[in-house]
Amino acid sequence: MAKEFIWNLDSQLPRQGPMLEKGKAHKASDYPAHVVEFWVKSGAAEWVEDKSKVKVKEKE
Amino acid sequence: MATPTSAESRLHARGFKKTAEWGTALALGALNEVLVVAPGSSGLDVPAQPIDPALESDTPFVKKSELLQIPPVDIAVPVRLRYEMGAIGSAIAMVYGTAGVPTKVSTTKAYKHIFQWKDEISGLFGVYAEERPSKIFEAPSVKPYRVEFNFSNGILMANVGMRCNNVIDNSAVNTATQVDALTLPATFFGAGVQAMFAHAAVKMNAESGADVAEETALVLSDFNMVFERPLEAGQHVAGSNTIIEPLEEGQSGPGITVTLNFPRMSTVNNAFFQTFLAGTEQKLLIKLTGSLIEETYYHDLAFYFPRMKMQNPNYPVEEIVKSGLTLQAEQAAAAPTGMTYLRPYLEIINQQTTDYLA
Repeated sequence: MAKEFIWNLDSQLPRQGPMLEKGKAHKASDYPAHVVEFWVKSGAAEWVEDKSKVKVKEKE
Repeated sequence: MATPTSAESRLHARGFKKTAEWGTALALGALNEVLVVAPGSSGLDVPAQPIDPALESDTPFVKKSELLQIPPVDIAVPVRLRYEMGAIGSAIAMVYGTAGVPTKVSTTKAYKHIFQWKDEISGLFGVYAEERPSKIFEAPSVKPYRVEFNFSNGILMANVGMRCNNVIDNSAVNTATQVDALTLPATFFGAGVQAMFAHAAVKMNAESGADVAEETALVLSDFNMVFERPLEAGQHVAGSNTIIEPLEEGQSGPGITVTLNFPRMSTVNNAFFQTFLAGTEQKLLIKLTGSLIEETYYHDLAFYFPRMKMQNPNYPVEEIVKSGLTLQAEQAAAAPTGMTYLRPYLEIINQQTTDYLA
């Protein structure tokens, strides 16, 4: 399964890749790997470990 | 993606972020991109660090020069101002001094932010960086102290003046990764998000009068606003080559000036001569309204000036006799009808859910 991350901040436009929607899961392969790693490290995003977590985030 | 190797400046990104400790940069990234008007420049460049040749006795020719302290670097970041301001909104909020968590005003999307004018702005600064070919120029600490709003081709521009403690090209904090990770608000390029001259309504009446929002809008050909805090040039202290955080100096306090230009002398603006002589203080509302966000809430920028002193009304004779007026902001004794605070403040309605000074 493709690795995904959840965007935690207000919806944003990255320099490269599709729009990042708040609380939604995004395919990591759509963005530069080092950038996604940095977003996760800085708390802007988090890896999806479990699909059910996405639904919880969307409800928030 | 990597730092561009090309010298074409249109390819280069910029970023700004609030920091906590003067002289210490923080990593840029999400939410922090600033788009600078092109072709244009903030003026961020190598500090003009002087050298001092050792002119001493028995020195037929200089044998050694010392590199002296790093002088502050003044930059001015020119942007096309959108209702979704993004990172430059943080710099503008720093000039005002107070922001806060926004209030949700519609069911889901619209948030109201209020920037209020603070007594002083010590402790408010950030980090600013720009890409250069194969390099990242970083100003580890920058203090916004001036913002000018004006129009170019009918588009609202903001030019934010900042004083930097240094400029480096070998930051370990902001490298290609951090700059690659910059982002803009999702609606940054949306319809009706760019603030335009055509969106503006400027209303003015006596400070003691009724709600200025109920007035008829003035017929203007142009206007601009300048908010400036008189910042000291910058002081060095023992043990450091760079300046400490600059503070405001001068007893006169901030200079907040609005200039209104009228396309022709009229029965409305010909009264300003007598109003000026009578010394009648005015209140002023400059409101720009963009696209609908949700329900009855639109993107808004509303500049409130509770008390304005008229200066220099003028009626230059050209083929068409025109009119102009400058106003200087003062602090009202009490919030006038229709306004909430005593000093100039800015209300913004957009979709940002977080405090511009968080």
